[in-house]
Formats: sequence, structure tokens, C-alpha cells
Amino acid sequence: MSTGSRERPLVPEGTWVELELVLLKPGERAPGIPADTASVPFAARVRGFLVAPARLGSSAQVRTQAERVVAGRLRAVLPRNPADFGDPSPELLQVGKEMKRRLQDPR
Amino acid sequence: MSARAYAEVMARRGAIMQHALGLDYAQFERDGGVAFDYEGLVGSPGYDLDAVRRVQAAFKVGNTPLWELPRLSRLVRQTAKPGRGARILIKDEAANAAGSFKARRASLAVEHAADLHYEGVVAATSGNYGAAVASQAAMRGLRAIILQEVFDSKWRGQPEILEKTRVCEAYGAEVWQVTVGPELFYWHLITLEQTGFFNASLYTPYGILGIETLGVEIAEQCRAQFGRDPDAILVTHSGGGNVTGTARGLHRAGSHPEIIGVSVDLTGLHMASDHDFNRKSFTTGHTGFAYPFTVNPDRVDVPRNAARGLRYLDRYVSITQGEVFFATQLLAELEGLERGPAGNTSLAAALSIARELPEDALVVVQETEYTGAGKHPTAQLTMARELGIEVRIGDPRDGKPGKRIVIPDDIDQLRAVDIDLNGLRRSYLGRIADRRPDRPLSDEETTFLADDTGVSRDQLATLWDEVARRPRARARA
Repeated sequence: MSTGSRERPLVPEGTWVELELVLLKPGERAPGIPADTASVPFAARVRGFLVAPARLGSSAQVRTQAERVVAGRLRAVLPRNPADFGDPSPELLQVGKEMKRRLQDPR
Repeated sequence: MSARAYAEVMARRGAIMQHALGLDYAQFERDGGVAFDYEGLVGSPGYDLDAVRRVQAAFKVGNTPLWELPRLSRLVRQTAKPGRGARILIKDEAANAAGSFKARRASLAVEHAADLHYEGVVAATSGNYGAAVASQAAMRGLRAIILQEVFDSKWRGQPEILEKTRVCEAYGAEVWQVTVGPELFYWHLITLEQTGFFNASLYTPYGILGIETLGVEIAEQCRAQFGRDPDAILVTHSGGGNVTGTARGLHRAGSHPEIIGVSVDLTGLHMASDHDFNRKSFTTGHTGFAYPFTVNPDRVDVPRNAARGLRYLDRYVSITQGEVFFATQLLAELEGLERGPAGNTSLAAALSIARELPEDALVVVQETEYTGAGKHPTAQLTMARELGIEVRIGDPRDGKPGKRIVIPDDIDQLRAVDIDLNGLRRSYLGRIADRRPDRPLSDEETTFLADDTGVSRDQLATLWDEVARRPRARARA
């Protein structure tokens, strides 16, 4: 998400949006965690209905599905869930075919 | 320090938990801090088995089909010695509300929260349990908050857990997606404190009692459909609840098959590492969770864990990521069941172990789960390749977690690898010995530790001597 929130249009109240927030900064994290994890913030994303009009990238509040009001930085409007099925696996296609053949025609 | 500082919040954990569980765990503790009244804890819910079945039936859980997998069994027999190659059965737990056996655990936990008049429930889980809690809460009009470890620090999401976010939101839950780290528990405590909601932990007695029906159903269905008791039950093993509840249920039904735990081998990957997080293709049922939970069951979000794998495991094996993907493909292409990853871990081991057993033996894979975007082998293999992990066909023994996934080219290459249960028992005991050097075990502690590690008192005495004699720093290794 780029900065420069001033030029961005106001997102209307009631829009389903995603907030991002830092829960613990690097120096505040749990003791004893691996160095690669300790050096980055512990952060979160959460979604809800925008409580008041706000611009992308600016502070905002949402009312969540559990009816709580949460504050954070407005990250996305109608956020898409990026999970998909990925690319086909030639390896799995091949072994499936082989095993079907083996079942019909035992060695 | 602020009230939200990490150390401050952790210092309040006892008080937060007691309020969020409605159960005083102190009543079960015994002198010395080692032993506690396990049966008293697991027996504390006021439900007998019939009551559990009634609750589950009322909330769309249980009585799932037990299917035979004849084509996979036949394929295994082709590579077995004459007379060997057991009948493989699978318990289709995907048929539960929310698509997994976790509905059994959630049904009782959420029922209990409703009985105690909590307004909502919170669960810190990246797995199917979140969906199950959200679904059970939806049926009762309770609010639900699910906390999930989803992203690395570059906001790259684990595909399977992204799907879990979607499904929990589909059931109307508030979902927090956090970045890698054990501070998920910290945020869990803050959320419980802020809301006063019930902690629908996986590890309460309710979470275990709810699974006992799964074991009972397997015994009853094997008798009704196949005229005999099961010989071996394969259980995907992680936090220990699945093993514990299933074994207890089977015992309740008077059935005593071999209980075989199965975990995906993720040796070498650190579960709290930002770098390693997305380099594993399995989010649960793997050694990265199972080892620490098995040797230290109380490292959980409740004072005492009701899920205690070592009590019930007769045998414990690992299987590689590539072998599980292979089993997933075969379940779809040979048996017409497209299912998610969790149950396929124990299925992969079943395809190896059935080879050793007589033809008339019954081997039960005790769960399936729903599949979908992100939860599919193709999603995981795509992610693995993007992160530079090599994927190829060959001998699964050549795989290396985080570096190389090798998919077997034939069923006879599948090999469940035995994990030394005594090694895990020594690690468990070593932790206790470290805390109390030179103090012998009391009679009560000896009995407790023998039960808790699944051995006789004599065997326990031998293991304890081995551990106590070691240099202290090495006992934990």
C-alpha cells in the first residue's frame, strides 16, 4: 500500500475493510525467540465494517463480526483472500496415473 | 511498564485463564508440582457418553461414515508378502459440521461456554479447530474470535491458514491474522482479558471428551460392518488430543487396538522462525509440534493439558511430506475421495503399515478433513517451489524439510519410520529431573509419571534412573 493518503478518496462508513496493526515492536517481543523473528514486529490484520469514513493508509476503526471496535491502519477495501489451488503438480499427475495402471496390471 | 507489555500480560496469565475457563485447575494439583489428578481433570465435565452424543447430534457432529478403501488395500497387497496387506478403513470426519473431527472438540467446549453464560468464545488456533469453534458458536448465537498465525514478516501467508481465515469468517467469526511467533498466546490473553469471553482451548477436558465418541464409533462400526474389532488405529499426532480422545473412546467401548501416532517429519525447521515458517508444507500433524507437546504436554494455553499423547501411544511413526502428498493423490484417484491434508498423514503411514499386517486385519485411518483452496497439495507445492524448495519424484528418503520434497514413484516406497518412544519418555522425564536435582520421586509421583508416559512403574524406575544419572544439561537433549 502506498502512502500519500491525502489524495486518496474517503472510504465510506460501513465498508468491509482490513486493518493492519503492530502488536509488539521488535524490542518488545517474547524472550528466547529465534533472531530472525525477534528482529521484526509482531503484527496483525483484522477485518470489519468501517466505523467512520477514512482514507487508505490512515488510522481507522472497524466494528468486527464479534461486535468489537478495533483501531489500526486502513490497509484494504473489500480485501480478497489470496488462497488458491496453485499450479498443477506434474509429479502427482504422473504418480496417480502410474498407480492406476499398476492396480489394473500388477507386476 | 504498560499493562500491555509482554511480561506484564504473561504475569497475569493465571488470573486471566481462571476467569476464561470457569474451572479451577488447582483442585487437581498434588504436592510437589509434578503429579496431578489426571482422571479427576478429564472426568470433571458433567457429561456421560450418552450426553456427549446427544449434544453432538444436536449440533451436527458425529456418526460419520467408516469407509473401506478396497482399491488402496489391493494396491498395498501387490507389494506385500503372501497373506499380508491389511484392509484399510477411513473414518470420514470431513462429514462433521465445519469439515473435520475438530467439531467434536468444539461442540463440547462451546456447549460448556453457553452453559456458563459466556457471551462469546476465543480460540487461538491456525487449524480446523478455529472453523469448528466458529461453526459451533454460530449455531448457538455466540460470538467467536479466532486468532491465527498466518504470515511471515513479508506478509506472505501460509496457503492453508489463509483458507482457515476465510472459513472462520464464513461462519461469522472475527479473525485475527498474526505474524510468526509464540506471542500469539500473548494476544490470546489480551483478547480474553478485553472481552471476558470463554477460552475454547483445545486442551481442556471438554476438548478431549468430545473426541471420545470418535473412538467409540470406530469400535461400534468395525463390529457392525466387519464383524470384528479394529487391529490398529492410525492417528495423525500433533498436540496429543486426537490420540488421547480416540484411545479413551476405544477403551470405553472395550476395544484395545494398537494406537499408532503419525507425524509428518519436519526435522530441522524451527516452528518460531520467520524464515522457516512458510518452508513447511504442513501446518499441523507434524513433528515440529508433536515432539514438544509429547515431551512437555503442559506447554499449552491451560494450566494442565488434558491431551497427553504418551499415555496412549503404543507406537509412533513419522512419514515424509512427499509421501503424504502421494497418499492424498491416491485417495482421490483410486478411491474417489478428495480430502484435506491432516488425515492423509495417517493414511500415508497406513499404506506402509498395512503391508506388515495379515490380510484380514483392520487398519483404521481415524480421520479425514475437508479440502479446498490452500489446503490442497498443489497449493503447497506451488508455494514450496516459489520459495526455492526442490520438488521431484524419487525415493522419499531423499527429502529434506525446507529444502527438498520427494514424491514416491511407487506405493512400495512408502515407509513409516519408527520414532523411539523411550527417547521421548526420557526427554519428558529429563525436564522434570532438571527442576528437582537429587530429590527422589515419591510413590505418588512414580505412579503418576508411569501413567503419564505409558509405562509400568518398574519401567518408569529404570527410565528415571537413566535420566537422573545423566549430566543435567544433556538430559533435555
